[in-house]
Amino acid sequence: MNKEKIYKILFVEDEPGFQEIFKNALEKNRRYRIVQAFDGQEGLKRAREEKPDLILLDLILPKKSGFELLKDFKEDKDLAAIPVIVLTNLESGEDIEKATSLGAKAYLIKADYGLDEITSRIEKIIKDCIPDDENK
Amino acid sequence: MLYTPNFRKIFNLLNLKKQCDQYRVGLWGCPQFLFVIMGVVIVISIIGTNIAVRRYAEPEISALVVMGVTAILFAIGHAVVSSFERVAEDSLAKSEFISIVSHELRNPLTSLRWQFDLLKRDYFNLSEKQRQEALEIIGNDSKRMNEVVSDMLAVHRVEEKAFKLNPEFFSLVDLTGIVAKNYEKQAQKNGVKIEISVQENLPPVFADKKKIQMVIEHLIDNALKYGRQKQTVRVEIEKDGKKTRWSVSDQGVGILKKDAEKIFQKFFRARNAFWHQIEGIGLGLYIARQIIEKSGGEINFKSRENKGSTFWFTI
Repeated sequence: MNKEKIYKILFVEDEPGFQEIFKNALEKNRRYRIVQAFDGQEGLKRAREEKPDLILLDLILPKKSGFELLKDFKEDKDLAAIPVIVLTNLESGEDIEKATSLGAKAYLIKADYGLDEITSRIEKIIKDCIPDDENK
Repeated sequence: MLYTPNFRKIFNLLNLKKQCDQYRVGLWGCPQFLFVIMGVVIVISIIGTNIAVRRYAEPEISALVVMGVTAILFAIGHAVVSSFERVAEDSLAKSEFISIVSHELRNPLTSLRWQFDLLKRDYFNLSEKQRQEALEIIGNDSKRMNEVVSDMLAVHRVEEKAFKLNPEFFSLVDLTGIVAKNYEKQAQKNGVKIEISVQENLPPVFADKKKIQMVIEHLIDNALKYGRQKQTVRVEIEKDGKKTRWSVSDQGVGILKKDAEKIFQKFFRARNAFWHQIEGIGLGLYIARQIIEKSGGEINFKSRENKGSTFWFTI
């Protein structure tokens, strides 16, 4: 049988409450492990150290905005291929366009969803974004 | 079809008052109006120079006239540039506003909803500690939202033309004591001590007590937020000529030099505020300045990066 790979997900978000909720909700699925970063700079550092399989990214962040991070990820050849899901409360068309043009795979507005909805949505996108085990 | 010029549109373009009202600036801060004035000055000076040159043959006088006109045009040009800057700043403040509202208002709102969902869904599976945590987050979120909303309302009020102060005689010392007591818990949480030192025999001040309380609250709140842990926030009240001078000092992160002149602007948040993850929407000092200036006092600060800041006002 294929051995189950554990997927590493980097979550860059400055609200500790959101961090906790998603860690609890997503790690219920034992194949996901959440790596937390609480500001933009930490996000970039953790991404380089941990090489996550997927990045969940807030846009308004201390020290470095999510937009800047998207640019940094794109320019770093080790990180460019990692899918990024934007998870934010910025909802203007301009912001969505900007994030997508910088390479975000999906754009979710936090306030639009309840807890179950948002976690199941994230899980679905994660499934779509992360390729299944290569040795399957 | 016959082309009929849109007279209303042309008239609107000529209607300077309406144009300037759009920018919400006074006539003398409005680029369109200043351009018209500049035009008038140029026309007058051309005619004037012509007449002057004909009347006085001396080159000194014409040189003087030219210099004078240049100086006037330079001054108006300067006013035009700075008025444009102000208008641009205003639109910057608007986009700041959207970003701040989404972060400071929608985030707690979302968090509130999700914590509630979590409680509703998993109440019996959560440990006592997790339940307590969720409830505390809910409490903090609603408190934070309330603060943001009341700051926004306060801004709206101080900007209204009908903004009125209801002055009365009261003791600034007693008021400071009450406010400091309200902030005791928050201070204790950070291990900060609030010290109040008062000059003897201070006369009561004559001002709007509620509004001054708001100013003191904002200044003490800032000192606690931007001060470091386990330090002292010092409030001093003393006589300053006929007025009373109130000041609060922290030993915190200080204010960057390049931020200094914008610190009292609406929606301005210091660069290092984000760095140190300090919550806020950039309205407190703006409100404080409006209130103090409308009360006939003065408000300002001095600060050194990483050493701390002192904010003071007179009343």
